[in-house]
Amino acid sequence: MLQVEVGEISLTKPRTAVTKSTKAMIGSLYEQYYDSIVRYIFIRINDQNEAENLGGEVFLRALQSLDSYRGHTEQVRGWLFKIAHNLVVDYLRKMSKRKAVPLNEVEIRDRVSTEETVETKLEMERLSKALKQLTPAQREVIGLRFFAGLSSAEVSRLLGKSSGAVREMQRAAVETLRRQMYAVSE
Amino acid sequence: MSQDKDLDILLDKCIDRMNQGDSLEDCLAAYPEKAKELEPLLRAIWGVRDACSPIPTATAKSAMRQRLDAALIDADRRLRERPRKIRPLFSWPRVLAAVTAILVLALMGFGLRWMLAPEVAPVLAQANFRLLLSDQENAIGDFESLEVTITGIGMLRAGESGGWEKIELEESVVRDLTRLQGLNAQEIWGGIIPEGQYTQIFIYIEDAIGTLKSGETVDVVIPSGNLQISKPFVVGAGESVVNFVYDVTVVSAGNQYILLPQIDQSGPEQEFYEVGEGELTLWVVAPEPPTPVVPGDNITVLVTFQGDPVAGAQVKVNGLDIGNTGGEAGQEGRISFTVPYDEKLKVKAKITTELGELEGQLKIEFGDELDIEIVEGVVAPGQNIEVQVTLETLQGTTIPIPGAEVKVKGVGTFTTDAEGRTLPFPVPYDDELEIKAQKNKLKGELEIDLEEKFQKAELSIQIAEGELTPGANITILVTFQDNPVVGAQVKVKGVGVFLTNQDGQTIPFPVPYDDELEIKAQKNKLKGELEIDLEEKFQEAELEAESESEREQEPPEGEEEAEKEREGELDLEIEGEVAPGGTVTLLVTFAGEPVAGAEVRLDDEKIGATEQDGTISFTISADADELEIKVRKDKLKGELEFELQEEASEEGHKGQLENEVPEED
Repeated sequence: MLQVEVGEISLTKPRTAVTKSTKAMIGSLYEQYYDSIVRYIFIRINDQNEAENLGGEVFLRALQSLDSYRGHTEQVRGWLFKIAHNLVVDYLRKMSKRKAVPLNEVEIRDRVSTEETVETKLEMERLSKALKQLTPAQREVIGLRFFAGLSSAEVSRLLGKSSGAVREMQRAAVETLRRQMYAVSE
Repeated sequence: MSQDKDLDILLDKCIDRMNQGDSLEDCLAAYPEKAKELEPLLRAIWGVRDACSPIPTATAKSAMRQRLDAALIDADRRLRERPRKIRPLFSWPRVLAAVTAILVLALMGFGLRWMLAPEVAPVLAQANFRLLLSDQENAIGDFESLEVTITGIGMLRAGESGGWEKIELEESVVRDLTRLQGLNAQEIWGGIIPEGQYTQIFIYIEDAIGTLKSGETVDVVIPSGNLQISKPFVVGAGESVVNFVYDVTVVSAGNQYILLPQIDQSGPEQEFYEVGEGELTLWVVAPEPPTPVVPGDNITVLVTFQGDPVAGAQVKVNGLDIGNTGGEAGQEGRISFTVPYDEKLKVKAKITTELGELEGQLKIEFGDELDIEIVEGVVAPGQNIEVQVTLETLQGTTIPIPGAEVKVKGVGTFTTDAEGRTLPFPVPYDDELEIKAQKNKLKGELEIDLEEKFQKAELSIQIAEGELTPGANITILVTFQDNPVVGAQVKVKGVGVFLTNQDGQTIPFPVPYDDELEIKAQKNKLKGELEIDLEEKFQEAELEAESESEREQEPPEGEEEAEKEREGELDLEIEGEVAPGGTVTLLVTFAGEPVAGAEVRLDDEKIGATEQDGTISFTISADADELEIKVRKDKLKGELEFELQEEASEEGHKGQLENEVPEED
């Protein structure tokens, strides 16, 4: 996987061209973070197709906002997930004005084995149902911890909650997922 | 800390580990004491991650990438259509050299397209323009400071496709020429310019304001507002960086100072020392690598600037000032100290020089989790144990931690010695042994589930002293695994509650008048119980006494005295004519109260029971030469024995508890 080795990104004046290095950087950020961003969004909205679309949108937004971005390499991930978070909030706001959204129609287009595809599909369905049992805040914590890779301290700062509250929320969410996803085997 | 919070924290740590690539098994192995609770939760997390693994599909990812690439091309096109800003160029003045300053243009020949703005590339590794400032003797010696404000640069490219390449700086760059004397140089701009040959370089200067050593402020004159040098240089297709040193100087002319370029000191091949952020470098020189630095070590740090030792730099270790680096030969730039027992070593050095304030730091992370190990004794309530506190550093070295505060729940607080060990302390009588250790920011915790370990364990209760006779005093000993238990609560049914002393014993207490002796002992979570059937014991005792009586055995020497000392609760008193054929009345009392229904036997023959007033009357056989009266009420007995004379005494006779043989009248 490509790694972006950037000392400091600080764009202090309007760009007058998209440089080769900018293209390389956006491209490698895409390769590095697109999957985890899509999974983070999926956990939040429980819709695979929308998650994939919004995941792409994150990078388009990032491209547009490069001029205003100032920060270090290690902060790029947080910046991208912040964009993803904002897109999710917008999406959920729009959806709340519509009718209830049906459960995700899972698409497993890249699997070869039919048996595996069915199994994966079932697993996804179980996950989708389990996710419905989580509160929005629990989903956010799970998404940020499992897929954004943020520490609980970072999540607590982001959500404005104590670390203890985040840990508690995290365990409650995991317990719920465990009960919902593996109820049969218990 | 509650169990729930414990689990929250461990789960959180496991998720951190997972995010860093640890497997489920790694996580469980790291916290074996909670593995049972953690495993289902971690499996659920892995399940969620696995379930999400097909997301996104490769198709979606590819489609989104194409969309992104298209957006990049579109953005590029739109940006290129925007008009460029161009500033007018100025002519090159002829000047005299007196004081020199150097501006360095670093031109990197990457063969990339020319970009107007230097900051356009967010990846600074590919930036292509730098400006540096240097200082030399001359008229600059008159100045305390001389700040030059630079707003842009321009370069004239040779050839048919040539022309002025201009860079307008978004923010003016200010450089103090007094800091850039000699070979010192400081970057003004760094970026990428088109390949080719260049013949001239301009520097646009907004102003140059100097403060003389007399304190007076002066405006230094810049002819035409810019400086120009005609010095050819080439930017090739390779990746080597062209460092163009732009040398300027300030001269004194009458009552004014003039800033001029110094062409003979300028060019791409000039030697220079770059003045960057003024960073000092810190090196651990003792112990020598690869010996790792660990807390408690005596180490020596060398502070350098541009490769030279720096004497007199102020050094702080983890925020505490420890002095200055040495200046004497062999110790120049060095300072030695003991690495504090903390989660990191952070050494900061600072010095103020003519270049301004220079700083540097060195940081070594050790980790902050202390290990607590039981090194002496057996983990059993009441047993003494010793623990040792150590730190396994991130570099893999394990060291003892002296002076750590060790708190043992329910026991007390101890301080570790030079070996990181505590004094012996007793394991508490509790369901868990909880030990916490701390030294500065280093922390550790050890919890041992004693409840599980001693689930079937019980306190042992023994009669330490005395005989099991109602009213007789006995002492109880409480032990656990053969060790006396101090401070155990001992409840004796019908008597009261006692606490065991240092020897695990109660104070003496009387055996109750009951059919059983029930004793319960408890020390925190540990319990014990003892039940003795007193009725059975009394019967045995009675049979024994009767047997002894039958054998007409004399009581062993001393026993009679001992028995006489006992205070009976049944008293027998006889009144009347105690002689063959005489009629007497026997009064049976218990604690001064008459005992009704007590069975009375004469020479082992039952004659009846006492009345409500505790009396019974009977006639002594006319041919009897002795009289044996036995009285029994439940477990209590009394006995009187007489040798009869022809003339019975008129006085009454008194007897006491069983086996008591009253003196003859």
